[in-house]
Amino acid sequence: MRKTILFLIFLTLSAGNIDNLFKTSKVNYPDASAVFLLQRKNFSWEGELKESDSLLIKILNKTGRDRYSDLRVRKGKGEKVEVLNAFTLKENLKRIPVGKDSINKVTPPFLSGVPFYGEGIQDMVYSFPDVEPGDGLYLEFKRKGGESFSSVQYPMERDPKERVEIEITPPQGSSLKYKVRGLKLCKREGSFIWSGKVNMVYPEEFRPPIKLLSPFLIFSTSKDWSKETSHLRNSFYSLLKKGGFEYKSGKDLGQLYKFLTVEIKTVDLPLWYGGFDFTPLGKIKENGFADQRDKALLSVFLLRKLGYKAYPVLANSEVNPAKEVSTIKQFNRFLVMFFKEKNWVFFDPADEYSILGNISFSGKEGLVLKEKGVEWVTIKRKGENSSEFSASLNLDKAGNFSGELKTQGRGIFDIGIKKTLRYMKDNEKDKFFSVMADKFLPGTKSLKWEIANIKSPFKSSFISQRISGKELGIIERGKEGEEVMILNLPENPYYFTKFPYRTSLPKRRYPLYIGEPQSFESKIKVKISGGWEPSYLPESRERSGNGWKFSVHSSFRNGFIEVVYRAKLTSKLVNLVDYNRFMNDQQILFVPSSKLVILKKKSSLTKE
Amino acid sequence: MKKLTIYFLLLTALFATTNYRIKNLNEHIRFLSDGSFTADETREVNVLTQKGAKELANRKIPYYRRYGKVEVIKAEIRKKDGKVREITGDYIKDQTPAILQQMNIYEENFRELMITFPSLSPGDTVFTHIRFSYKPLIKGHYNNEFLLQDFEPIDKIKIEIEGPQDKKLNYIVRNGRLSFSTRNRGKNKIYVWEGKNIPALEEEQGASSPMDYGLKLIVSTFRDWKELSAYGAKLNRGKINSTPEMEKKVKELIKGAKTKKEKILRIFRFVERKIRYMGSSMDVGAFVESHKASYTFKKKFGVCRDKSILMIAMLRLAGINADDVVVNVSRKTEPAIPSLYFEHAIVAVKFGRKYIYMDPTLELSSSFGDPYLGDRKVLHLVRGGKELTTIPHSDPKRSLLAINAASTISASGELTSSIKIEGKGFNDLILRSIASRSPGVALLLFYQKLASSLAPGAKIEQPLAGNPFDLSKKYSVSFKVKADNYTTKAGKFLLFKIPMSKDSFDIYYTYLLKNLISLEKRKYPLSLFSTASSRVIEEINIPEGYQVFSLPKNKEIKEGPFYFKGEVEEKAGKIVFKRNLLIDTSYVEPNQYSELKRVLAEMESFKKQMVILEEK
Repeated sequence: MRKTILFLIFLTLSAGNIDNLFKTSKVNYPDASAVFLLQRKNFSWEGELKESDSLLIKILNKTGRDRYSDLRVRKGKGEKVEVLNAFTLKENLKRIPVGKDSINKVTPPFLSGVPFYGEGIQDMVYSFPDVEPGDGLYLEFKRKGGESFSSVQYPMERDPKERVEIEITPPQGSSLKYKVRGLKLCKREGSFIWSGKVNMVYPEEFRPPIKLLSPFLIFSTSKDWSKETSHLRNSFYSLLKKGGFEYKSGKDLGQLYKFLTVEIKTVDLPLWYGGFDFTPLGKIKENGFADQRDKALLSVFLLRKLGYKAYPVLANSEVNPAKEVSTIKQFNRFLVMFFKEKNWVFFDPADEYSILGNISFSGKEGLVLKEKGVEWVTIKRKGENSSEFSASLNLDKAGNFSGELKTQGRGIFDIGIKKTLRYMKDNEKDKFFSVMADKFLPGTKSLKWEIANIKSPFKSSFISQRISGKELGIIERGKEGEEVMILNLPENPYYFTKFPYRTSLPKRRYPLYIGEPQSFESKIKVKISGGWEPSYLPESRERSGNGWKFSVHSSFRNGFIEVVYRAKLTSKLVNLVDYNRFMNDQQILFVPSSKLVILKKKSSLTKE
Repeated sequence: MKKLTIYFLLLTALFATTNYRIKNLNEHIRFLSDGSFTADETREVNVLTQKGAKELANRKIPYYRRYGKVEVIKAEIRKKDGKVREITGDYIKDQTPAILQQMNIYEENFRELMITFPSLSPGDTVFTHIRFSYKPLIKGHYNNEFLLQDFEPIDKIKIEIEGPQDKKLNYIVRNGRLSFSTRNRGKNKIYVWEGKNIPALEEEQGASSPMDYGLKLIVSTFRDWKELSAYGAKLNRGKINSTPEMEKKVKELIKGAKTKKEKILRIFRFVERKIRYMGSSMDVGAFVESHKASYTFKKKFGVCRDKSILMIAMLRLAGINADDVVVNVSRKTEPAIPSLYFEHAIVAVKFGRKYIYMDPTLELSSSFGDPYLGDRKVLHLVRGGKELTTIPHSDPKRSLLAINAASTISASGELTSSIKIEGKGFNDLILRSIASRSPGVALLLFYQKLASSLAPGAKIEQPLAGNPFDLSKKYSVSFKVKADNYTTKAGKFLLFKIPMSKDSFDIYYTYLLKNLISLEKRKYPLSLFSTASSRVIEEINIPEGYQVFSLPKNKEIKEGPFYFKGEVEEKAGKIVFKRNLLIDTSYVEPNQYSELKRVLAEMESFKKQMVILEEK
């Protein structure tokens, strides 16, 4: 009985069914802008992959209207797409079709600066008419193309889905492999149907990547990874053998790295959008640009020419791939690894800002593509993720100051500095440092600045600037004339090396995602003079928990007040059960009592 | 070869902060009596740095397919070793611009030609010759605006415009000098402008459009603004139509409305809210033309000019006169030369002796007359024509953000505040826009984030917000904030900053204005979009067993159109804090910027101060 009911639901939606589903839907999603009453996908094989999609969306408010009224249907390389139905469904069940004048063929925005690789990719934008909150949108289309029977589906999005159905009819005689989470399976003759309700992903600071939260279905009929990657490997290694790229800049590894990551311009394109074949090396030379696949090819070629053992590595920057389902669609990055000084060094040739060996998603499993087969490897990074900031200030008796700010970033923090400053002109840098001085303390002037290693492929970047400003110390006088000077210690103004996990939420829905171990230090050193001495300093204290450690340490020695704030994060996540403690512990870095210094005149207030 | 290398090195040394240099930029335009024209542009650019190579790797040339075409006559890379590489075929791609899609405009006839220059390196020169051929964008006239300055220097520039002698070309050059000459060629006259060594513009946060401060040339065969106004009105002929459905809708909307103002607001809100901003295919259309009102009414979407035409048509059905008006939003309008290149269309409703200017694309505007429009020059498109008009200045109090709070500080350092935030005009629009983009829990998260800047670990409780979409009612947000460890105990003293003095909830100041005033001085004007003001009033209960040791000193400053006042006093055992900030201009010239800086510096100085209590 249940199977029959399910079977009835799983029929391609007829006009009556759409109306019925829409009419009888009872939805209560106060946080959503719309709800997908149904999203159906059907995968089958007709000598090529065939996909049929239908979706019925109910608009809940104006945000939903704006978000969904223009729906894109993407036509990928070599695909044929046909839209079968598109209409607005009013609350009274009247249908208003999308007219021809409301269908536009546009270049997908991410292809806007992409030459060649984006050929054949197009979006059809369907602009639905007369959409009001309470109305529905229906879209149905089919797509053909693709040489392998495989797909990766992560259905979670910004709005909830009452029902998601994915039906798969594998080619006859094939063996389907799959991995699934959060969807229930029902088998029908020859087909597999997974379905379920999918929650919306809520906005939340430091939320884990959607792929870690979403239900998913990954499937493939490929026998194993070797078979799955054979075309890719054949293409790669045959082009490698063919050569056709002359590199004349010597054997210096740093120079080569710069050449690969900077001089050969990266065409920023999601992996596989440009297809599954590589570009001949001669053509890459002619073009001077390449997407991540071709950059990997060029990198391996040139490293081998320099005498290194090198291989391409497929990786996913967000989640570990499901090894039991062999489909390359699981990967979104094309890395390179090469052997140097007894270690394998990994790098992303499409990332021009990371120093060699710095991979921001280390610890994940990557698939090494060798000539005769494949191998799994754990991606490793070289070096740590850390940031340091220091402010050395001279305070005069009126509370004004001069001094120097410095910051250095390693690993992921170095990327931010390089990205920001590498291509700035000198006058732009002047303005940048002027803004940073003002952010340190409003009204502060930037005097001189220095930067180092912004272009270095091996060294992390370093910044320093001299500043001067007013009213770091504010003199307050009591009713009886006693004087104190209050200093509110400023924070690191450089956004790329600041502690990024300052929480604002008392409660969370999702674990707090950190990703990579990292550490921070911020040091404020103030030289006091003019008859002032400290009356109050931040209390030195330390808090630690399951994957973190925070500390504040203050001292006064030889006329210098020094307060050092440190944070060390060693886990990838802060679980919900630990969050409250994490939030309370980190507050020692930010509470007013950790930022405040009170100075007194020697003749005024007595110390406690 | 050696000479070229030396030359290149010299250039790099001289232009150490230059990524590329435009050696020659020539444009030859020929327009006909009917308004059609061809334009030949040749450009020669030296690449100096890797960044320059990156920036020049793609060149995008926008055009409108319904009216014209673009051809690449020649594109080549001249390498520093003397070799020349022609760019043809696959390196030239025709596509739709991403930037328009970001604005929700999917009109597939808006195109761009993208030329890719492969393997570009420092030392190369990029040469292009592009030809534009256009049917009349403006029938019987030629009108154009040229920005002749770039973010990199230009060595030589030449603009030549050739047209019939009986179509006199009026022109103006601003923000720089160009040499000018004319000559005749048969029945045509050729106007020539030339410039040399044009310095680079600089990137500056918050700067208004480069058309305001860059070297520019505006040309027009229109005699005056009146003629242009009449031309625009002619384009609208037949567009301001109606259907029985529209009539029915108008009757329904104005039913029971007691005043003319109410009728106007009801129609305005319908067009505002029910007609989605979206741009799609034109069946027919000339430059600046809209769809018919009946079309927009049926589809329930349109761009600014569609919405304004529809609103005018519906107002007419209600017996109310209104004009289609064009305005520039991101830049100033040059009054000296009539030019049709306006960015935006709005509506001017006749209300007594004056006009009320309303923008039906602002879907959450609750005002009668949009305050952001104050001081802007506009052109009414009316039969018979009308001169350029300046919309009256908008008092910043019309865009007030009001924050009222009642706070309690406990002896243990806990802060509890009850806060209410309301806005008018531009600030009301901001609050409603935030709420409309943040349904449900997202709005709570937004204010929670603001609260975290008040104090670490601060929690929002009991949030209450109005319906941002109900424009007939005032919109406000209120909530309680609680924070532990707000104060610092130092011996017998208890210190804290006045909570609302931190401006955590003054969205206008903290998230718009403050980010734009970090530079010490400015080269270019700062665009603030609207006049505005904010006012904070807070009463603080101090813990028992404590008395005031010292309070922040009051400060007040007025410089030019900017004003700040912060005052703190002790009243009946409470601390009362009041703060007023007034920004009485939407456009800050560089010489005014220092005034703004001084006023806001005083405000920041005030904020640094603390309340010090001592044990009784």
